[in-house]
Amino acid sequence: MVVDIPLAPARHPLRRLLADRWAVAGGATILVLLLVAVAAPLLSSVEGHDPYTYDLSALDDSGKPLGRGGGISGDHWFGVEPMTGRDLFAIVVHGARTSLLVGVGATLIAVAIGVLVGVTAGYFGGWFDRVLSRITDVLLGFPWLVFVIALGAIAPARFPKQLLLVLVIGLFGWPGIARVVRGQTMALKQRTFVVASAALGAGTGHQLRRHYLPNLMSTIIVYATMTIPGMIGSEAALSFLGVGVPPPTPAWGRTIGEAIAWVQTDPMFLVFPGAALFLVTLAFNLFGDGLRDALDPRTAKR
Amino acid sequence: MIRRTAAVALTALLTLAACGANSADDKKESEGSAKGGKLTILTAQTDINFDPAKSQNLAITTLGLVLRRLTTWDVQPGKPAQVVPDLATDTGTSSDGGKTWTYTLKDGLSYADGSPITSKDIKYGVERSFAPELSGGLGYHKGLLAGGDKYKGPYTGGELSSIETPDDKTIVFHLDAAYGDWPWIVSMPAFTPVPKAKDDPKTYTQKPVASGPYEIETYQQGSAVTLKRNPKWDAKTDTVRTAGPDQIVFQLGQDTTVAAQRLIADAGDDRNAFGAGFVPPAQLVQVQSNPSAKQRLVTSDAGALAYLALNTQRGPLKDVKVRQAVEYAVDKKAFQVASGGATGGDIATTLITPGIAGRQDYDLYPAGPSGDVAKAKQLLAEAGRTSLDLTLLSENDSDSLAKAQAIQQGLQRAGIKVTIKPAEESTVTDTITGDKGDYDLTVSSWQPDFPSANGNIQPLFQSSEIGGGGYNISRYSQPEVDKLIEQALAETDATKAQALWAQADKRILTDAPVVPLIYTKNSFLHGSGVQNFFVAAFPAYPNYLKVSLKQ
Amino acid sequence: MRTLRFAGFRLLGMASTLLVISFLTYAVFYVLPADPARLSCGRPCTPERLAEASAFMGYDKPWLQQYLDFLGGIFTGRHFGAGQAAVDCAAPCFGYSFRLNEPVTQLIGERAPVTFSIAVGAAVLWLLLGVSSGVAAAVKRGTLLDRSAMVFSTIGVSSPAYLVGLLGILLFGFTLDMVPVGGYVPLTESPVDWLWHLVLPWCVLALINAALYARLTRGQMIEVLGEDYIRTARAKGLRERRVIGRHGLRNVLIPVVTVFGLDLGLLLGGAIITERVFSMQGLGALLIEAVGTVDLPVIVGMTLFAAFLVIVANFAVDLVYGVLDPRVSR
Repeated sequence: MVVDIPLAPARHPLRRLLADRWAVAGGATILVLLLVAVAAPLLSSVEGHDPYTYDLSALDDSGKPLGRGGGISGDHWFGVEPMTGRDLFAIVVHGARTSLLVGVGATLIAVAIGVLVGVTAGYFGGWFDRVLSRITDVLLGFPWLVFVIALGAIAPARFPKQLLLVLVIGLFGWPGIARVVRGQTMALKQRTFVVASAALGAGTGHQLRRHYLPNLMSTIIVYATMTIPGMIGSEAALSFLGVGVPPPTPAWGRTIGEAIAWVQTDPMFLVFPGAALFLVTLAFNLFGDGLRDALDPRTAKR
Repeated sequence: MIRRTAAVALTALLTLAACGANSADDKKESEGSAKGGKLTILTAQTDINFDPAKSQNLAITTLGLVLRRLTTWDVQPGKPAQVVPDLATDTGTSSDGGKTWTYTLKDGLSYADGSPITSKDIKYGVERSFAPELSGGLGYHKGLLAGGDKYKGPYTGGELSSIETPDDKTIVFHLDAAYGDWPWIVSMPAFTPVPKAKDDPKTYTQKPVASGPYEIETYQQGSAVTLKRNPKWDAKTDTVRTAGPDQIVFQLGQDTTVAAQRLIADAGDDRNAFGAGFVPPAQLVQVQSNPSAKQRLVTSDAGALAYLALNTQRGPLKDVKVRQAVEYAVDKKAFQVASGGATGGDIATTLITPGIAGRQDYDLYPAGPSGDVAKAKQLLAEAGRTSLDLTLLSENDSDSLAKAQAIQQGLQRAGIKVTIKPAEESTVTDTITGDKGDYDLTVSSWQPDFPSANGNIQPLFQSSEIGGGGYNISRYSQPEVDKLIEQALAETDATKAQALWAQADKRILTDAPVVPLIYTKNSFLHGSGVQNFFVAAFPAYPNYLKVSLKQ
Repeated sequence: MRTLRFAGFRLLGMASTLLVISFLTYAVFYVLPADPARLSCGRPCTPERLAEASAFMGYDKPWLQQYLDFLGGIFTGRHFGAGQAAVDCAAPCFGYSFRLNEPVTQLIGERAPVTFSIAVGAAVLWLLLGVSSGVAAAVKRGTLLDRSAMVFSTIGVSSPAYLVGLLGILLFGFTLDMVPVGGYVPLTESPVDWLWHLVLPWCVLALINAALYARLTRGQMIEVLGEDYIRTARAKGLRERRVIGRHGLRNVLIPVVTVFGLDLGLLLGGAIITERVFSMQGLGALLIEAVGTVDLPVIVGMTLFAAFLVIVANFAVDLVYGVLDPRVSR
């Protein structure tokens, strides 16, 4: 059975994406950061430090790093952390792991649940839709930050906190995408090719796989890309509030939270993790923008 | 912050330790006490509870400005803290071998509304502290007054017969057993007069009837409390309060880092302000490069003991060899740096803190400030352990976590893996003082309510203090030590008692239930317009009652 | 009749949502390993005193009973303790905080002005800033103005609020000494001080949120400007300003209003971080403190209030739809 494929752009989306300099820059940055995250132990061992070992000899008696710029030197590329003497470069590159792991992991969970809920609610409609929409509302209404704190206290110390964060942020993060997908699904239902296929007696599974998901794909990809920076930001905010990944596992948000107090005496302590967090969010935003423009020509910039 | 003010054991000696109490290194000539101005106090607290029955306030801080008690503390730079008469004419006369205590009120005492303060009001104030509806305060008297264990407060239980008021000026307390420290007990908030006719338990936390030099002008829930002068307070009846400022404003819920930065900047109204919280380590460093702020930083002498508690009833920590290995593995130097370096405290090796009479300096585990990893590994091997995996319960603010990590990395060096479990302060308190004992390690800090070796030892190491709200958080139970403690408590001769406490100190550390880390110093900042701001060694907090502003 | 039935269903839906949320909150916080009674038991805390305190606050009952008591209190009010010291919480009682000695509803009433002062001022600013720059960027598409607006907004979207806020405090509060740092002054006490203390949080929040609205507005505007009816309007010779103002903006506002409604509804979640950064004691600070002190009544009451805000915001968005888009009428 041949059905019209509604996506028939003049140029291939990939080529449009590659033509967008900002999106390419964003994508490249993401790639680099991914590499950094994967190769973090390697990178820090090239520099000669790990993010856990204290070095009090790099500090003065009050705990302030010795030397200029927070102790930046050939030995410590980003300087050292005040009060511990741990290597800041190692902390920042290992922090990329936490941020990306939680950001991407939580997004995957949120998107998976969101798409499932959105598509089924939009497709089946009726009471099923009403119940799911109500659950979506409930979740949107939850001050989930509070629950993260509560769950952190309930979970046993040995339960991996990264996993807990991925689960919690993901489980509370899906209502947004569910709403969007539901709306798109309902719109698709009205489209001729879908109506026709239904009239020809195509089964539910077949319809969902052949018509709905392919046509929702671009929305899902764009939404997922745009969600990741938000999730990374959430993890950083939780770490900032002291309820994120427990120390000594490096996390940018926690380092930023600590560095704020030191900004007048050791500004570089804030600059590196702050710039890293900003860079990763910016890169995902730029890439997401470009992706959206490429997949949806109507909003394209040029 | 893991700093708890602890209660001192009950049969403590009245004789106070001659601790070299003083404040910072800066000049300490008397500055006179000018009148006038608006003093601002920056605090992280979001709520001030003025109900004397529910308060655990020190005698020299907030409540002391508004409410007077039978006795109070005289805390001055360079002198040991003393218990002195407040509403009463003396610190109490005992009869019946210390079981009966009698007080007479001074003449000319009145509340802010002009009505006279009577002994019946004090009796009523004490009685209402027994009501379950008003729980939450310091309640040592509840276990000491005869019949106190069954009494449920005046709202449902009538009067407490062990408190007598033969006339409006006299009050007599009858205790179950002789208690030499009773004069200290009646300096606690519950011994504030509360006029029965004005007692509305629902609003008393915000609208107490003032007996001190200030009364509450406005109370903005969560943001600010403003005090104004109480015109009826008579300076002639009060030896400890100087009542300098015309107005005192508490700015609530102020982040300690931001508050410290404001005080360093010393601009505008902040010139007439001080911070109620400790200056965080980062700001201690910042102060070092700012000569003006450096002059306005006041650091106490080494006071409270910060220590690592090892839960002696858990898994491998039951083995004394393992605990001794921890003694050697800990990196006290890193902990000191995490606490703000030399300004944050001195490295500790004993339980009884410096300045306490009878303290003997010793070091059972001579490992140096950074620990002795080889010795620790050797002890672990003797205990038959090649590796250890422990959890460390910590509060989740960044200062506490920095300290927890300093412990973690130190132990890591000896192959002891530590997982930090961060939690809210309430959860931590509840877990370590609760009955379950579901933790391996925790970092804590201890400052007794008054300076005595007893206060360093008994609440932390007597087996009766395990769980049930007690602070024996290493869950240490040693019959021999219990016996020593009882002996010391019963000893009436000060010197002999001190020797017993020093003996207990060493005996306990042989079992290594805790690792003494540092003797902490508390640092506070004040604005350039603030005078008479000092911090004694005990209690290591500013004396609010004497602060004044330059005029 | 239809409208009435619809309104009835809607109300029922709201109520059941709130019911589920309150139940979940109770359940989650009940298993927290901290006993609220112990925290208000005083020192020394004997087991007898602990039991008394627990009984007074009703924490000694099984948790389902506690939850049902809570629900009942909404309709009948609650009464704790006996005699003169008894505590009354009049209906509708959404719990009573023994730590702060006030009914939760009163606490919310006292703290809400702080949170709403921050939110409303910032929202007005970011709407104005965001929508106007978005429209301008769309109209002047491809120009330097468009590009710089979009670069700026991408940077804004990518900046964590707490970092910008804290840097703002350092720069404008300490280094330049332009605005006061920390604290809140009620509008009723001094309008000038109120404004002065709020300027910085407003600007920080506005900068970050305006970015999102600028992008949203720009995208929608470009789409709308391509539609037939705009071309028709132009062809009819309407002035550009009128085309954009009357026809363009109206349609752009629909998604903007949706997002705005949700943002306002979620205000409490954002307030936790904002109030922490600016040392202001609003609802967010109250909630986080309640979690820290296991003040269960406040946690449940605040969670319900937050959910209520979201639901109301959703409802308001629907109403505004009707006004903006005549096609959607119920």
